[in-house]
Amino acid sequence: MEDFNHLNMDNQKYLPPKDLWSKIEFDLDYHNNIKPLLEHLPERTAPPHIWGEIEKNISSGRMRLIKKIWIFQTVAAVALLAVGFGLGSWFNSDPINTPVLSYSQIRTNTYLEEDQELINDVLDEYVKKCKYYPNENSCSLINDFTDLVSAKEELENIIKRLGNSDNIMQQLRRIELEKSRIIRNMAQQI
Amino acid sequence: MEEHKLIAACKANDRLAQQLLYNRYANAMFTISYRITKDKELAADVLQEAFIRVFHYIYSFRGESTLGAWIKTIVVRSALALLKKEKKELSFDISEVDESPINIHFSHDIDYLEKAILSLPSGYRTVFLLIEVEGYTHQDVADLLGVSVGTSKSQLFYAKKRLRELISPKIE
Repeated sequence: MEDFNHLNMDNQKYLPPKDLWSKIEFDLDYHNNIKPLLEHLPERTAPPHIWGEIEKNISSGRMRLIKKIWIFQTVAAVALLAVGFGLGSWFNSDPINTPVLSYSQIRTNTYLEEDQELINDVLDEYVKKCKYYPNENSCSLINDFTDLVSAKEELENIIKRLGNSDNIMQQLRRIELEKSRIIRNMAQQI
Repeated sequence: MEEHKLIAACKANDRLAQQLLYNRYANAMFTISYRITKDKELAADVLQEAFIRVFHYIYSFRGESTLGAWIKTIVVRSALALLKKEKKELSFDISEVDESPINIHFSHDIDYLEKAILSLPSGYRTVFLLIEVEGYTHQDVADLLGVSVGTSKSQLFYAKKRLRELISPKIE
């Protein structure tokens, strides 16, 4: 008997809230009477002028987009040109092309350099003179000339390996000028 | 025109397609914005603002929801943003519930029901409309309105209760 009462006491804890039925009733009432009507609420008609306003705005928006695209394309074109010029400069600085450029600058220095045959004739004559009439000063010009030719070859090798620079071009020009001066001296002494 | 073709044409900035899309959804979206703002001029502004956004951002529409649902969310967000701008933010104050009786003539009249819904304070009304009429979830509403799910549920409960009070005498 005591146990049964105890069970009853425990069951008290599981009784539903007193207002549960009213909540269920409220929900049923809502679903039966209000919810079905919501689907039939009247639809309003949008004012007719709105499309015109929207159209104006989306047009200007499109113009803004076109302007943005145009700016982007311009920037891209400038960037491509810059890259193109950069690559062009890089290819122009190719060591293979450099000696041609440097040589063209030097060609106008003296009339002797314009005529390699004449230079060779002067050298041959001078070497013969040096051979048959040995003279310390005369022979030294041959050695100086040989040193200059070696120096020039060395510079040309450097240009092939590392490319040219203003400094190297100046040195080449000085060598050519010095060679011209020596050839002139040789010619005077023949 | 089929919807996917209409979307593709709108993405390509086809003006006729844009107008067709607007015509297809304008009234439904105006209705939603009117019910949220309870003001025809504001609702018109909302509709204009929302459709401009729709056409600007339609390139980002991936079809993860229906086009109507996507536009509806833009309209709801635009309406809430405009109310905020106009300093007419949603009220969740229970004391603002309009207790005055609504003058009606027919018990189940749809117009009366709409009038009853519009008489709810803005917060209650918006939560009720979004969940019960537009089919959003409490989580959606919480995200849209920046409130908790609990707040959304309690607002809906009070909104339903008030509607029942307004309608019950006429049902009997």
